[in-house]
Amino acid sequence: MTILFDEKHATLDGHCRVDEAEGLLNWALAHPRAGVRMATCTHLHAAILQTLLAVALPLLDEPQHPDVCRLLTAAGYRFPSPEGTPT
Amino acid sequence: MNPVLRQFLTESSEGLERVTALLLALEREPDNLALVNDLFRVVHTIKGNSGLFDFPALTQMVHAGEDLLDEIRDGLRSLDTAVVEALLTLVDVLHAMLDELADQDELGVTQNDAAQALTQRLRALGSGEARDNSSAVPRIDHFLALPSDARARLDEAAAGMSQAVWAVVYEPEPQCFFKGEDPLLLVREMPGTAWLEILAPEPWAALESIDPFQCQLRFLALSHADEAALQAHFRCVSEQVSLQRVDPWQALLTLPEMPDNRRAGLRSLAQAQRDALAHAAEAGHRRAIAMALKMLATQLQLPEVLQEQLDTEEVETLARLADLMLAALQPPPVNEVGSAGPVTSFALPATAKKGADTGIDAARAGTLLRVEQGKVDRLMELVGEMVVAKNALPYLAQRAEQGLSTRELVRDIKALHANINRIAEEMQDAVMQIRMVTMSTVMQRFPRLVRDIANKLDKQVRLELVGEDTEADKTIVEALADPLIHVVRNSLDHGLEPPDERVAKGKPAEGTLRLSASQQTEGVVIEVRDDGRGIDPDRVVAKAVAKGLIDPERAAALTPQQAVQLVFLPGFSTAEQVSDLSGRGVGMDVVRSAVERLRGKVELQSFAGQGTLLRMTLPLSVAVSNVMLIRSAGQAFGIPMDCVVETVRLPADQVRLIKDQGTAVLRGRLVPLHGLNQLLGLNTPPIRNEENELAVLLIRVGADTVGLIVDDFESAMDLILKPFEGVLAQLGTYAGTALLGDGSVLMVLNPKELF
Repeated sequence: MTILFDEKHATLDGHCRVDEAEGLLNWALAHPRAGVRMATCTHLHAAILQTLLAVALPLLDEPQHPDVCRLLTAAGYRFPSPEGTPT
Repeated sequence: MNPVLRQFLTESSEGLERVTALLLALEREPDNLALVNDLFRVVHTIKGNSGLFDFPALTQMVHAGEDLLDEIRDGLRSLDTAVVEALLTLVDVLHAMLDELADQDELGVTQNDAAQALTQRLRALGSGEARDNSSAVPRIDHFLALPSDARARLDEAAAGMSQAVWAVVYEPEPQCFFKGEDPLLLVREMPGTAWLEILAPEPWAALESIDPFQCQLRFLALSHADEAALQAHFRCVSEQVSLQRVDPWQALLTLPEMPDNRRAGLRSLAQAQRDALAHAAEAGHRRAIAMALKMLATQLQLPEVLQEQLDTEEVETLARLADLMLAALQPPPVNEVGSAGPVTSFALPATAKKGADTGIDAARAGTLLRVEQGKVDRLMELVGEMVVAKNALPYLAQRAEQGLSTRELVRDIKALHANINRIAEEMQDAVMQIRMVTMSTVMQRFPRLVRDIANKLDKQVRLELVGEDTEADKTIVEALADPLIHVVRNSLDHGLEPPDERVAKGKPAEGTLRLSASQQTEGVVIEVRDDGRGIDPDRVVAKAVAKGLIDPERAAALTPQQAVQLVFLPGFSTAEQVSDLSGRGVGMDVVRSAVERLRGKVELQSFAGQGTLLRMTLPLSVAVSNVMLIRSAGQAFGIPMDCVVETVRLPADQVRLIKDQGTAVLRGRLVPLHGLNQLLGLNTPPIRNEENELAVLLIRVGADTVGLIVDDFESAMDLILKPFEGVLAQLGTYAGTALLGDGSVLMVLNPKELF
């Protein structure tokens, strides 16, 4: 799928691809106080994760997909654990 | 087995024979460039072919040999003894590897270790570099590049694991996105993930200058999966990944100080247990391994908590502890390339494994035959003729229906039978020809064997091989290998004298050992002749008497030639005179029984001070036996003709009783008589004919002649003898069975086992 932008949020929906990383970075630079939503994200390319880590925008919700949760936790994100977060 | 692999094994075995022959020739002529080129080509071919399969240790080892030969043929290095020895070791290790592959389709740890040690040794003899750059790129240890806090978190996570895990560091190259790689996906799907951390640069560079398409992430993980699974998962990025085995128990292990040789000894003990675990199917086996590991653990002063773990029969736990001890006992990483190392020197290519003792050894006979096309073509022609001949039968049947006279029918049937018989005999001959191989398959291993043993014993020996082209049945040739090796070893060890002793006796310093094969009417004759000291009849007699194998009065009556035959007595040669070479107390009786199992015979002649001659005579074919039909107790039996001396009709009153044993005087000799019925446990007395005569078959059993009383003799015939199989094979009384023309089964006796 893709990343959807509005004034206050970047919403990662479904499978986010490598070529969207540049758009995300530029949008984040223009919207330093925005937040990121990942509830419906099923996978993100390493470039996207890398960009998210670099811009350090706050995460506004938790991904429902357990694998995505696992990867984000490994990257240092902390959120209250829904069921399905592995060790 | 994969047919390509099978072909590789066959071709490489042949290649190795060529390599051995070339090496031995080069030892005598080190400057013969043609031989060096030949040798290089053969080794190059083996290396190339091995690359089709996944045997990296084997390929690298052969590659090292090839590089060495390349330097030699370029004149950068000379071919000296060290090189020859190393290359002969290459032949041995490769042979062992090919055997293991033939058995198990893959190579075990021991073989791979031996190969690696030899690879180092070969490289040390050369310039030490790989000559082309196709072999491994130096591996980076990504663990070293980790920041210390990340490493600490990894170690802490590993310590918290309940069992050993693999630690993974994946450092994708910055351009990987442009290759279409998604490291995050790869990590997401890594098998067995127990712990994961994703590292980002800290701190990040200024946001405006970041290139989102340069990968700057690093991945740290712990996985329960095994090494093979992890390597397979990361195979496309293998140089960007480092794996390390981490065992939380490792932290508990601190080895006491110990000298290098003790460390090496304990290490080989641990390795042996680890290898044995791979095959430990039974509980008893595992208990034995656990006990050995416990002793090892005590030696290593392992903490209690680990020693307790050894009270188990679980293979995984035992393996884990064995691996732990092995890793701890690794030799310190000093460069000791070029030392003798743990590579064992195989004196011989592995000889065929023996099947159960059912007549002829079913050696690794599932192997291939190399046959000249002409032989197969001949068989095809004969099959064609057979088809035509059998097609005559329906016509004959039709004519018989239409009212052929009996006399004409009989005549035509006999003619047809004669034709089919001729064709069948020719087919039989053609098939046997196909099974014939030359003696060279056995004889070619002797130049190397003799060279190695002569060197070990400091003796000078010239080996003459005569008649390598002599053909014999494949089974016989293969079964001859072991007895011949034993006889040759005997000659080298006990027969041939050291050079100074020979010179003192007026003989040339170099002894001669002659191995010859030829085809005679009675079969294939193989002779081993040496010009050594011969067998001393007095010493043989003394030893036989001392071992209680013969009583002194009989011993005194023996001629020197007869005395020499005593070496064939079972139990003659035992441990006290075992040298490293002529074996584990295996005596000439084993040689004799091996030859007799093939229905051959052995003769030994010795001339004191001059030498010894051993002659083996073997039948040309294993298939067809000549058997005499006899009747006893209303049943038909067969007796192999080669043990029948003669048939006699003995008047019953000429039988004398000597201490309950019936005897008779036949041809001037006193011969014991035994009723066949009695021997077979059939309670019928033998039948006498109208003139009150007994039918006595004089047979040769070993060195003695015995009279076998039967009811009647019939003719001798050629049969295909089928030995017993399975449970019945243990009945030594019978050599096997054969089908008679009327469809009944004939039991063929094995006279030796009757008594």
